[in-house]
Amino acid sequence: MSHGFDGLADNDSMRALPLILLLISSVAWADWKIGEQKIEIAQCPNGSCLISKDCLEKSKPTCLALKASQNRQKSDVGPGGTNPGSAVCRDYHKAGVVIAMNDEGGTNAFCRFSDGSILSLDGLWHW
Amino acid sequence: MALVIFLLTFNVWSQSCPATKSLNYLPVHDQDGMGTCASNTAALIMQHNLGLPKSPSYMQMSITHSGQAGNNNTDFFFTDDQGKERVFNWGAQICDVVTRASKSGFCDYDQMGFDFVGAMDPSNSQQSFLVSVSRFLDQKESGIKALKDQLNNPETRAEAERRLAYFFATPDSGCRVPPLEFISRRALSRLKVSWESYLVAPATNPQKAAARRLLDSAFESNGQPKPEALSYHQEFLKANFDFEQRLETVEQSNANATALVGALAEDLFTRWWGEKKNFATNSIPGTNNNVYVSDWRAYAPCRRPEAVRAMDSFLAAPMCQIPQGQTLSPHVTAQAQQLMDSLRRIANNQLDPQVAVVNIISPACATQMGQRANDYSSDCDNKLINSASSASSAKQTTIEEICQGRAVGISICTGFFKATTPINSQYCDDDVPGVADHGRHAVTLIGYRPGPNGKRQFLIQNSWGNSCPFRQGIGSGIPAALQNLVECEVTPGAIASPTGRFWVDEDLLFNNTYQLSTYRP
Repeated sequence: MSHGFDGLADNDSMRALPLILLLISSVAWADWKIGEQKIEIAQCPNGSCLISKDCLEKSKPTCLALKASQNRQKSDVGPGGTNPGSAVCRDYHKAGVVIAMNDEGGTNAFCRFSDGSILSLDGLWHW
Repeated sequence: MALVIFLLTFNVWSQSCPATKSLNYLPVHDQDGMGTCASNTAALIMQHNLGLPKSPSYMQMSITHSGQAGNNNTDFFFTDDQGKERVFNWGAQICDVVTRASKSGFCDYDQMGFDFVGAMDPSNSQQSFLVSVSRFLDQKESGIKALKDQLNNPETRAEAERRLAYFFATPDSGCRVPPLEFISRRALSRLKVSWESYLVAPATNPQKAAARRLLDSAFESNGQPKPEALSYHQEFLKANFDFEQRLETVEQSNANATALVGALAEDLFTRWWGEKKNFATNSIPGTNNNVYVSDWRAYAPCRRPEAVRAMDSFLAAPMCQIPQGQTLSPHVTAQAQQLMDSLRRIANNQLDPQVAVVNIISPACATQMGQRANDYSSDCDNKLINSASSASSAKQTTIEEICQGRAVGISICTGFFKATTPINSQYCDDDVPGVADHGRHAVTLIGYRPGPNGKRQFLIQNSWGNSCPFRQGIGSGIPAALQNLVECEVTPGAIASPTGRFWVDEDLLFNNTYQLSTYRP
């Protein structure tokens, strides 16, 4: 399901669909930055998370972020509606969380491992 | 038949609203482990409903709300339709946050420091700092101690000051060293004050005489330095490798270092000038020890060892250079400065929690808050949902609000996020009154549309970044029993990625909602 479009009725959406898809495709892979530093990220193979791009290179089979995404831990929501992946990153992997911002102004939290690889928090846990 | 039911239902609830309505998409944020869901929601509904061009800072809202938690009756009790006493606490108090933001003001997301603390130190995050701040407000004494320890930690403070100094000393900042004459004039004016202090008691008469000679030889009657003194001071600066540059950059960057280095420089030049003018001095003018060694490093240690050691360290540290193999951006070092400033402000204002709250926030943010305080109505309507009939009215209210272009905040029990079948946990399965349930969460409703089986679906914007809770099962797919009830919004492409927004069947949603918050400016 593609992005819903703001305030348009269904028939208007259909007419605008090509333009919508064009606009969405141009921002689907927004640039991510941590502070001022641009980071290269890619979708996890199953599409359920974001991961350091170079983790998916065959030359890096020991990428910690990739390993973590293949060994998700059980977690749950904490007081105040915390992201369940946050506790897994810190308490289980003993890693740190960094916040990245995309060029739309949105943010996503990533777990940064000791080898420098990063994984979005949703790749760390399951219910 | 389903279509008829749907049309009848829709017509009863809203005669003029379209069948589908979504508000403008605003950025999705990730609160990490901060526990700011109510603030995330409050910030989002305020931005929507006020038409703000920028996202309010949910972190600032959370801090401000936490600071007032002791004054708000955030715990409240009610009796449910089964006669059991229930209590709400621990988060999801959306309207409390909105009310506080309306009264105290709020700042924009980009005005609140520490947004990217993680960039400064990979082992830290917003969560560790914000939780520390919030806990400090709840546990002032222990929190003060913890923050003071951090402030007084030599490594932390030194690192922050080092980064600040490098910021001013990096090529990006231009290493703005003023002309030598300017530096010398400024230094001589300080020396004049220092020498004049020996003219008054409790200086001895010899000390006063020596000070008089220093002043008369170096300054005109109008107080300006004589040309000879001015030029000789510049020679003095040049005589030390990069001394003038280091002196200036440190003075620009560190007020404490200014005093230290300035005192050392004054001390040193006093001896230089005294020697040039053929009267002996040491660190105290007018003493009988006439031996003066031009290399002050050999002589001065007997007089002011701490200052000399500090001066040696200062001269040994590379300035106007970026450390080898490391790039420090002004953004990063600016954050370090904000951190130290705020911690210092907190430690200095520990007796007044209100002041402490304001001082946690960056000056720019506090300024914006002050400009916006009481600008907006604090009319945030809490509608407690404690029965099935109220759930119906909640749906109607939500549709009407979104139809009018306003987002709605809801407090939910997240059990239905993880259940593989539809559940009803309107009270978060809380069988023990007074005990918080960890499933409490606040999210924002920003749209609705027709769903399967003649029912409506509502669009939720969460605060966990680009994720969808219904895909967080072991199998990472939506459970079969929920296939027609929930849908994760995803980006288009070969591999669809969640956007952080998702559709939920109306009954599933409101059977797990215990509070609805509307904000009408």
